[in-house]
Amino acid sequence: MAIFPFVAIVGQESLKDALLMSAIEPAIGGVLALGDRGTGKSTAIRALAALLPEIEVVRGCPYRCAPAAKAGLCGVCERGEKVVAEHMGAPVVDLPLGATEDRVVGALDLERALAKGEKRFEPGLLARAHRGFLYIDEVNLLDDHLVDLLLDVAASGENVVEREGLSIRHPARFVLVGSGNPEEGDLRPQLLDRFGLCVDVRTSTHLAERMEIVRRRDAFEQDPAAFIKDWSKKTAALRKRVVEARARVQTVTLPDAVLAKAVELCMTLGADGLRGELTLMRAARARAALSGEAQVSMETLKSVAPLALRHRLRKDPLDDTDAGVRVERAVSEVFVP
Amino acid sequence: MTLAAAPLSADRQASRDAFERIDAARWGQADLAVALLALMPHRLKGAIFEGASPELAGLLQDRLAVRLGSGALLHRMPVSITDDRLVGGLDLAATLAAGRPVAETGLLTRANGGVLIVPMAERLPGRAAAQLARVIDTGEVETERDGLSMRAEARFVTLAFADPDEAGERLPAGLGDRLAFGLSLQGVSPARPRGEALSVEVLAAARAKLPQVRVPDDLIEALIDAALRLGIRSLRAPSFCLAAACGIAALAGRDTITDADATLASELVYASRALVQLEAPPPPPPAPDPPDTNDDMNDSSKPQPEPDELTELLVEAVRVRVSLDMAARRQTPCQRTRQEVPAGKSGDMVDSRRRGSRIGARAGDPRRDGRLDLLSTLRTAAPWQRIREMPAGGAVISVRAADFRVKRFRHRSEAVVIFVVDASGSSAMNRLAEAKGAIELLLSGCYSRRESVALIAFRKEGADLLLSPTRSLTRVKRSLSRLPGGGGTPLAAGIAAAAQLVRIERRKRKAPHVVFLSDGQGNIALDGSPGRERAGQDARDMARKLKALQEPVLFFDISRRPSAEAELISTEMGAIYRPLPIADAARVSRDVRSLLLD
Repeated sequence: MAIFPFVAIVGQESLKDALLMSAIEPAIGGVLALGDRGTGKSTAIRALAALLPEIEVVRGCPYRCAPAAKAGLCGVCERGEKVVAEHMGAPVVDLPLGATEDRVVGALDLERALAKGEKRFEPGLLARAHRGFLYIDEVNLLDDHLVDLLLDVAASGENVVEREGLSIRHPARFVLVGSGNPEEGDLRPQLLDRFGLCVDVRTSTHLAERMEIVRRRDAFEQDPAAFIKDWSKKTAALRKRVVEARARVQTVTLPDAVLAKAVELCMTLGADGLRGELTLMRAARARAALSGEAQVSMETLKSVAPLALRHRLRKDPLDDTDAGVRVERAVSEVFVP
Repeated sequence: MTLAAAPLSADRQASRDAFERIDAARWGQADLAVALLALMPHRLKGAIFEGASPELAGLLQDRLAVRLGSGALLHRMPVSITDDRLVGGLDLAATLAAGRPVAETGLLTRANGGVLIVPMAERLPGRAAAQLARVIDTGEVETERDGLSMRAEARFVTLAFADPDEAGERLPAGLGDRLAFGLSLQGVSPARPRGEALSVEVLAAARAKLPQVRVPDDLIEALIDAALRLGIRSLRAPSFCLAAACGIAALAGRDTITDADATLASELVYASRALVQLEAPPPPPPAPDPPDTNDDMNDSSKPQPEPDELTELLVEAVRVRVSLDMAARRQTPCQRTRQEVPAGKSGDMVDSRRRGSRIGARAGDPRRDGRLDLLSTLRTAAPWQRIREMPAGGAVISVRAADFRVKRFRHRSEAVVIFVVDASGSSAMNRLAEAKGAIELLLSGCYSRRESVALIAFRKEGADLLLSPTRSLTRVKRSLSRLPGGGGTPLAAGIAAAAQLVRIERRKRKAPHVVFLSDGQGNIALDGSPGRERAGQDARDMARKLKALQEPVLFFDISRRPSAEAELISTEMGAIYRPLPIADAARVSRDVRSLLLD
């Protein structure tokens, strides 16, 4: 199936930003996209696969270990034998709602066990998503126990399997991306704040913008190959920016004054725990890296605050104000000139 | 609609003729929708038909299959379908016979190249609908189940049939958005067909013509603008509408799209979507500026453009269509409301409901974690049979503790709290506001998220379901931000509507709870006529019927001083009675929680 190019998506700036920031700094902790139907949430996430730079992997390793890595390797690659490197597209795994637990975490390879009496682990979707993205559309409809499991693995970066006489652990570091429509039932609050960033996706009500969306969609459906080719230059340019930003992100500095403001902002909003501050900092670094800055400015911090904090506010049922607006209000309070 | 046997007066004859003409037109549009689906199945995806009689539904399915040609088959998707039947999984019998895992394809894979029929689509659970929606989007089924990992192409046309009679139930919105057409056939009689079927030659000619149809820019603009003005936010709708307009032109053998083509396409695509929005408060007018102000497209647009002629034409056509559909809906279902479900039928329901509906299986110990799921357990054990040693005593299958699967049920008491609120007279707004506050408090306060809430308001001549059962705080806020109020007090209609909703929710295996906010003094009878005596009698009758359903009811007496009438009607319906002289959302919410739910 042809994939609509990421760079050809009209609008949806915050969603695109959130995905790119996560691609640059996976430690941000995933993205939750909430919003109306027909806004192209799935399109954007599926488009990411074709945008991201290829990864280098050990040939034949089912867990896609990186040949150059020293730590976080699977059992086989840890032994340090000589390996052959090869390239593959960045994994973006789309988790179907009907998936069963054994296929998500992996299980005993039945065919092999029966044919040869050999006990071998058949890796699941978590292994397939390692070093990439795991996407769940309509996350509010996935079984609770599966969602909890995914969040645990995403946080620890390791999948531990103890079943059918197998005892396996393998690295599973991926960015969890969920989408949902709040009109079809609110998400469990425990689940909300375990996602690093939260985006409120809305359809544009701007006529010219909507026309452009429909026009591009139409052109893509008429001739996908030609459409993708038309956008290939922009795709390559953005890919280069991501590669450069990844190389730079660890060296981006965070001035004390900016950090102090970040802490103050979280306190003003009453965002629980340290997760808010950490995400805010990491997101700000990734955003700075993406725009080619060497240190995080106040402006950058302000621009990522709604993404990092909007889902961490205590809910007040009688206050109708949109969470994003509440964050922005707090931002303008904290950042008095 | 049954017609009286008595001779009709000239007036009634004329109005009957008018109705027949409208019905014929509605059938014609349904038939056209099916022709368009056959012409461009991959772009238009499918249709939803509301209130179609079984005969008409059958006719539409058959015509679609014939027009698609090359042996397109019909596949039915039952509402209760399980994940493994839907997307495939391990074939238990074949696996046992072969001694190795054998896969079984699911319904969605088998439907490839054919037609998927979804009857009673309004009852389709969100999860099944979401899986179907995804396959419609991607054109393939991905199965990750029972140790199997499969991918298969799945492109089909979906025909969903919904029955709008079931108040409060509606098609899962995510699915409706993905199918191009939404048409009401409510009240269209199966006995009155319906024109000649489209010939195969015309369709073949249209297929050849289709690539040549040109779309002028101002048409795209008008279609998108019209969608915005009708409050349709999804961008799938204008795309569908554009494709449909091309198809209509191609069917007529033209390579240009006329205004009439565009109007017809808008009726087919927009009318059902606009309807959803009309029930909710009107959306804000199109914003002159997009959220991000640095967008370069800003300069090219005028700040607040006037709709052009074509846009206005399209919007008007859809509006007319929507009001005709609403009129048809009002005519039919009210008769059925009075039709009571036989009392004996509900008895066994009460028991089975407590267990909730099954939603799957997981590994576990049946002694500790609940009931054994035999089929899933066998399925887990099946592939191992060849290498397992058979236990002594002539056993045919060896099951070990690790194979045990236990059933998972939807939460035992997935409660639905139905608020029934007196919205008559001058204090209506006040009471409705309290009910709204209580609903929001209830929803936001429940951490387990296992309760949903509905709101019925009664005023003037009848009762309206203002909020169908929902757990979404967002939807509550959207649909309650403008509430109607005033007029007489049709208490009986309010109680009847509550009883009706109780029955619907029970059929969905939910546990309904009813909360009244009323002074117990009705003055409008069930048939809409004024008069205290009849109204009171009707209210007591309805109250007894509600009591017969044996569900918990809480009655808040909102009169200034506790009244005998309120207490009487509360007793008749078997309710817990609470005087509430001062409106207080927090207290209502607290009492509902402590008296009904906990």
